[in-house]
Order: sequence, then C-alpha cells, then structure tokens
Amino acid sequence: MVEKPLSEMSDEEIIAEIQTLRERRAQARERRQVEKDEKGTVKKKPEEKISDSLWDMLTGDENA
Amino acid sequence: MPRDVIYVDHSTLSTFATCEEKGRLAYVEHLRPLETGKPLVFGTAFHAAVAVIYSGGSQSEAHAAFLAEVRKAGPDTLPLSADSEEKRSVERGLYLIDAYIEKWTPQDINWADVLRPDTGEPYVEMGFAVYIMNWRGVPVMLVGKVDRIRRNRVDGQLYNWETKTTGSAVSYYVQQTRPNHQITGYKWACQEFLKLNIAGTILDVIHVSDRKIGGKFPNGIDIEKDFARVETRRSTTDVDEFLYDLRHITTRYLELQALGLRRWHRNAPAACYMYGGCHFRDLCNSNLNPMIIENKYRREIWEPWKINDGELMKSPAKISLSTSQKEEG
Repeated sequence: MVEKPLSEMSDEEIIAEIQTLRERRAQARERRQVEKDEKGTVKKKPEEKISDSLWDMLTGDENA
Repeated sequence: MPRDVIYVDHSTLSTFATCEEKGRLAYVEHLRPLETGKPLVFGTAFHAAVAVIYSGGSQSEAHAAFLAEVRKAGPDTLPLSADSEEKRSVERGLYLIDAYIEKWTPQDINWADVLRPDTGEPYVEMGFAVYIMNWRGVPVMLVGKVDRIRRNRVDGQLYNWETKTTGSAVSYYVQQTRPNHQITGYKWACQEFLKLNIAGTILDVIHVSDRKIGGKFPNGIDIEKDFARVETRRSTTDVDEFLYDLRHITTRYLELQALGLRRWHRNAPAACYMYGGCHFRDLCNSNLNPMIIENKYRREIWEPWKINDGELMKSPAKISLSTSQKEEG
C-alpha cells in the first residue's frame, strides 16, 4: 500500500490501489478455497494388494 | 450576509427547527466542524458523480468527480478500502457509481434531458432563489440546489429529481416522501423559479451498505435492493400548507436572530443524539468554551448567493424555459 494521504494521491494511484486490494482479496479467496478443499478431501490410503495365490501368501511376496 | 436580502435554505430552517441553538451556532455564528462528517463527504461526492453522469459524462469522469470531492474534504476523510470498519469508503463509492450506472442506464430511455436555454446544458445541479416573504421590510429568499429536471417521455411532463445516499435501507427513506418539506419546497421552488409546471418529484435513493466485499455480492452491492426510485406528487393545498410552515419557521428564526440573545434554546437531549450525534454536542457540553470553538471549529460564512460556483443566480426571466429539450432519438 502507498503510505500517502488520500488527498495527495492522483486518481490513477487510487484506482491502482483499489486494483491491488481486489487482487489481494482474490488471492486470499483462492487460498481459502484451496485450504477448504484440502480439509474436505479424505485422503485414501494406497490400496493393498491381496494376492489370491496361496503360495504367495505363504512366502509373503504379494508382488510375485 | 447582505441585509438588503435575507437568504434561508432548507438546511437552515430544518436545523433551527431541530434545535434553536444548533441553528444559531451553524447559521448565525457560522461554525463548521474542522472535520467534515463522513456521510456528508460521501453524499456530496456521490452527488458530484451523479451530476457528471446526467451531464453526459463518462463512467471514469464520474469516478474523477467523486474522487475530487473526497480530496477536497481533506486528508483521509474517507478510508480507501471497503474492508475498513467505516462503510463509506472510496472503494465502495466507486463500486456504487458503477452499479448505479448499470442499474439505471437501461431505464433512462424513459427520460429526456431538459436543456437550459441560457447555457444549452441540461438542468443539473441548478441553484435557485425564490421569494418567500417580507420581514421588516426586507425580502426573504429561499435558496437551494435542484439535482436535475427531466421530462418523462411517457407522460410528457417535467419532474425534478432529488438524489439521496443513505446508510438506512432505501425502503425507510422512501417512506419519508410525505410530508417532506424539502421535497415540497424544491418542487414549489422549481415552479416558481422557472415558471414551469413540475408534475412531481423523483426521489432517487442509494443505500450505502456495510456488506462485506467479495461475499455473495463481489463488490458488496445488491443491485436490486440498494437502489430505489419513487415518484411523489404535491397538490396545491400541500404546497400552501408547506408555505404556511415555511413562513412560520422563517419568522421565528429571524425574530430570534433580531433579539440578539447570547444563546438560544437547546433541544437536549432529543437533538443531541440524532443522526449519529450533533457535531456541536461537545461545545454545548463545555458551555460554549472558547477554547473548544478555537480547536474544533472554523468560521465559514454562508454565501448562498454564490450557490452556483460563485456565479450569481440568474433571475427566472433570464432562464425561463422555452421549448428547448433534448429529445434524443
């Protein structure tokens, strides 16, 4: 933000400041949305592979 | 004030009717608070923007007019950001101008500008001075400024327009259209001053909300609820009764002034807390301490004859309306 009294700012400076405010709000809104999405998503654990091969089960090698 | 003519306006008389002492401090002692109230700054700035719009100016010119008035009021009178606690911010003002244009431009097709024969400009922010009575041999004139005069394309009649910004809901303001001395007085004054038949008044109300920016309404403005226009009319009896009140209160005001009392009646506490509080409350509380006057007020002589930017108000004869109208196709 420009540390200037309003009475000393030109129209262009005021409009630019307002544009900056809008962008900051948009960024903050985006951040909030991302955080919300992250909280709302239940992370799934990687699916465990279950072998139906008796031999694999006995040897503990599921990826065989 | 030149004593060959006495000038009063709606604000003088309304202030005096609210509290005699407030009227004396403001219009006899000519005291103005050093810091202009935010509602007044915001309202004046918005008025300037609307005047530009109805004088054919662009959106950015309306913004510039708004900003110029805010700057004129002094450093940091209004906050810049609409996130600030004060709802009357520069940012909100600019959004409100944009929304006003968006809301009313499509409906403006029903209205035609009326041009002043003397300048060729639309009747916007027109100062008037109308004779109301004689007091001890001195003519008394009611002065004011009409926001604009427009012709309705549907009924072909002329209407004077009054724009108001309010922190209250528009519906609250719309309910106050009658009785309303300012509306009746301005309609009557338009007729007297211009020698025209004014069918009625359009009250153009704008709500300054404290809605959060970026919520349901991205710019904090509900275009359906924050703007209203209402038409109100006055009969000749309404006007006669208004003139009765006008002459009554003017006589009381001038008589009290002539008495030269050191102080007038204080309507405490009724008037002290109205509209966010009287700006003379601290002064009254201090029993008119001269130090308070020196530190918190300035003297600014009211010069209503300079109501149109220093230009003397023209006589009705000079600007009586012919048939000149802007009837764009």
